Amino acid sequence: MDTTARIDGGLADRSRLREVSLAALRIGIAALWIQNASWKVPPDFGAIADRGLYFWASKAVEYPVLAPFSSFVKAIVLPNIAIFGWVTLLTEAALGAFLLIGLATRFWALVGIAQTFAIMLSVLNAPHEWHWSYYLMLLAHIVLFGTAAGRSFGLDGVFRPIWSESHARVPAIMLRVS
Amino acid sequence: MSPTLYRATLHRATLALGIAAVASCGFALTAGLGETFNLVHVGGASIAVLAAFGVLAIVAGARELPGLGLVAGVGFVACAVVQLVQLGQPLNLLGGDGSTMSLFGGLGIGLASVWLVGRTSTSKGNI
Repeated sequence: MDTTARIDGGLADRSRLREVSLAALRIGIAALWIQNASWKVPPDFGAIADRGLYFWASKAVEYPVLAPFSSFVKAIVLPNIAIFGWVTLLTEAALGAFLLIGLATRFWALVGIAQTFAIMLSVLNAPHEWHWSYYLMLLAHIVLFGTAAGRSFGLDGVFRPIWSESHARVPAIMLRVS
Repeated sequence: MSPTLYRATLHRATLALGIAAVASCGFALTAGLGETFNLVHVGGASIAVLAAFGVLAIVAGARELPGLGLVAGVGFVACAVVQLVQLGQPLNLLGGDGSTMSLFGGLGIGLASVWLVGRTSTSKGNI
């Protein structure tokens, strides 16, 4: 009886530790995106002074990682940085917001993976960049997706019982993306 | 899970979001520590926004007043929109930036969605 209790207790502790760890990872990654929404400043996103988002996006042209992406940035992104800047800012701010509260976490983890690829293709070969920063960032988002981390101390975990009882379209979508 | 128990879970979620909002005021203290520690830029009126709507959400969660939680959520979303339209502008009423907007947005969407899901579960009468 004591042995069983010890074994059960150990499993419960590990499960609790797993939940806390995933929540910490999710909130930490949210903080990453939240902080990085601060230096993407409209309306020119650094184009006039060659700094900010424009400066870092131009690294894709100066230090190409993938030639087609480099050409795309040179021909499309940089001349239209006002548009792409807003898309980047709103995407990253939303990533921070939704990962923070753990809502639709699997969807936002996929968005995070896509955004990480875009950043990697821009700056991976730039001087003084540590490539493992971006590999770790990518891996962290894969973990958030694979573990559905919003179910650990996030709103996904709170809302899923009601979503699973509903036959409406939106709850069905939310179940899939959480 | 019984409807009563589920509603209690939603109230706890509102309470947690309120506590998170008030705790975020702590980032005002990290302003002088540089980018390494100052993860969210909270200053000026944004401190008052976090404190006021955070306390409102705490009261809503503790007293089981979902409508009050919605008010706090809508307040945060409104402040996120105000911060958004003032990004890069000389006028910055809330004293924040994109990071502040993101934080306000997350807290607001969270509180509003708790109210919305609670309303849905109440109208259905079961979980």
